[in-house]
Amino acid sequence: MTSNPTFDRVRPRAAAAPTVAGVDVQGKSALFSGDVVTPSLGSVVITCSECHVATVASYVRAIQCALPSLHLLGVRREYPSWMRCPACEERHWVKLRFH
Amino acid sequence: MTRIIAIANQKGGVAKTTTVASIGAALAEMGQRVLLVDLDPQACLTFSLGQDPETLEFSMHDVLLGRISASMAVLKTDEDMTLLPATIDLAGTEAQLLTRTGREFALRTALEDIAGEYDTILLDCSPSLGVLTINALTAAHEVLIPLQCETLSHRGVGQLLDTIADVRRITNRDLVVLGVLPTLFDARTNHSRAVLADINDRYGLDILGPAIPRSIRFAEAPAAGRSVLASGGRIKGAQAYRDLARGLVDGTATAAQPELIGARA
Repeated sequence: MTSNPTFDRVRPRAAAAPTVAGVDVQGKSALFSGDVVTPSLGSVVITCSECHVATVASYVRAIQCALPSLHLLGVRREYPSWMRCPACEERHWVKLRFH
Repeated sequence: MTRIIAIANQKGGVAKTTTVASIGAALAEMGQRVLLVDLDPQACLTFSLGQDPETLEFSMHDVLLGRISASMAVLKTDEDMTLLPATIDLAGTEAQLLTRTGREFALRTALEDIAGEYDTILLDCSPSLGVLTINALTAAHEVLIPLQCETLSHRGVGQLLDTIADVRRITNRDLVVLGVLPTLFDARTNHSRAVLADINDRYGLDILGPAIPRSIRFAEAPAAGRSVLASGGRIKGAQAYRDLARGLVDGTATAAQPELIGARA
């Protein structure tokens, strides 16, 4: 914190509004079409190469989207998996990040 | 590789537009191919560079909604820069984008087609933390924060950094904060230096230099339809922007400026 008393009333970052785990208290979902909730343990972030939206999904939902799917890990570097994107509901090349 | 820099601060009147026009003009003087993108519905950058926003056929409104490609909307300026102009229609663009999936990527997608034609793209953000600013931060590689060194501007920096953290987490993991650029700077006041010292201390942000001094020439330049580098010649403010642009190119502008935060000592 600052040693200058002039700025004591300036709030520290992210202290302006209360936060509740898993809930979009500040309404940020209006700005982002992807999930604004931080991925929790046991979730998968699916990023679509077409609509660019990163969606946080449970493993069960990710498996549902991946039926059927194609994974070219060595061939396609950035978006190696072909499966249904949960955001645009179309089959595109996607990137998966497991948490 | 094309470098995309967003000039962002949700506080109004901190010299975002002046900074975009002036850095752009300075880079163009250095021989760079520069594209300026006006993302403010007030179209101040568009007007400042000699265009009449009321009479434009195409603007960023059409580009962001995907009606035309970015190459159809570009205009050449007198100072050898290229401009993607704005009109008041951009205020409605924000509302229309709000219902679209992938709305935060509209600008990044639009720029993909033409980015290769430029060395540097400067994004002039609107004074808000809405969808247009999120689009700019999503499309950019780096963000520069112009800051009028006063308490109310200081207060907004934390909010902007929170938004940048959201963008990094959700849409643009690689976004880099270049630092804070002191604008409308009055070195005679302890308050200016105290604001910079506290921001440097509190957020660990680099203070970019040289600081841009307050000058009436910046206020006069838009009437001439040219940047202060063309209309103001060799005044201190224009030279400061030239030095800043050179520092951005060679990487020396990102070092903390001890003389600007001397109040902490």
